Amino acid sequence: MLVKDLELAQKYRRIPATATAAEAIALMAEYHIPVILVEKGSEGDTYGVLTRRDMISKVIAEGLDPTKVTVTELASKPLMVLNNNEVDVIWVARFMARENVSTLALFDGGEFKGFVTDADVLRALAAPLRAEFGHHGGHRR
Amino acid sequence: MIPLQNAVKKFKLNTVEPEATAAEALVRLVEHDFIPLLVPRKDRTDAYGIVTKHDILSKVVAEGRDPRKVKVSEIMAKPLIIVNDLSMDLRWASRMMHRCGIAALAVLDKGEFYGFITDRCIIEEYFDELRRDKLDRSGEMLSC
Repeated sequence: MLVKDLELAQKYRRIPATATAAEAIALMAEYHIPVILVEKGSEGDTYGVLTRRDMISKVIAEGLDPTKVTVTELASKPLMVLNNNEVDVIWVARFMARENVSTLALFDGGEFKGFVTDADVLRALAAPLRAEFGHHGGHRR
Repeated sequence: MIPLQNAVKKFKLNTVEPEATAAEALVRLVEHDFIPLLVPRKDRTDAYGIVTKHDILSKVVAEGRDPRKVKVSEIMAKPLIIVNDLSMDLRWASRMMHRCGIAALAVLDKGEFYGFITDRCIIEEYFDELRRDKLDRSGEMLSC
């Protein structure tokens, strides 16, 4: 299974660098998405990524007012990038495990393609196993 | 203040036996939108365990192991990291998840398993609260 064969479940959404944490939370909750792309704030800036985990650990756990924090302060920057889509997904899994991240940004020839999440990798690997262990067919305890 | 109880997802609880294979756990996770699986205890002296997508990704896939040949008992986390106060503010549950570096926190009520708190239910409950706040405030302004 290669990266280019992965089906990316996330229709990624982006948010301006000046948006507040409250806006990001609204986006995540309304669309049930785990990750948002944070746009560049100025020239020479880089893209950032914002996950549910960032909001939980940096805003909710700290009791901050989400309307007073900007996403730039919370985002992980720069992105963890994957730019070889001919590689086997096992290396994606190893990258995620080693760096302790759940999301990688996928680029193809310098163009941002979307986010690869741990769920995408697992869903792809589960597909051939479903006939054996799934709800339909196979045994179930 | 958001009591923990509001955020505990009332999803159908999924379990997997410790003797089952990682392949079985993986399929069950995918079928249930990656809600963590509870590994039941044998009796009251035993502890509950948990299997999350992270366990499968880092301990099976990343290591290049065949999920059919790995047992759930080898990759599960046991005992669970739990909270047992249903009225606790969501903020403290968030902090605990962050401090322990975990994606799912088990909630127990009177010694029995009650549900899981995940990243997703925290964000969605927190958003509902923000929205309720906003409605309350606009209501006050209208009544003035």
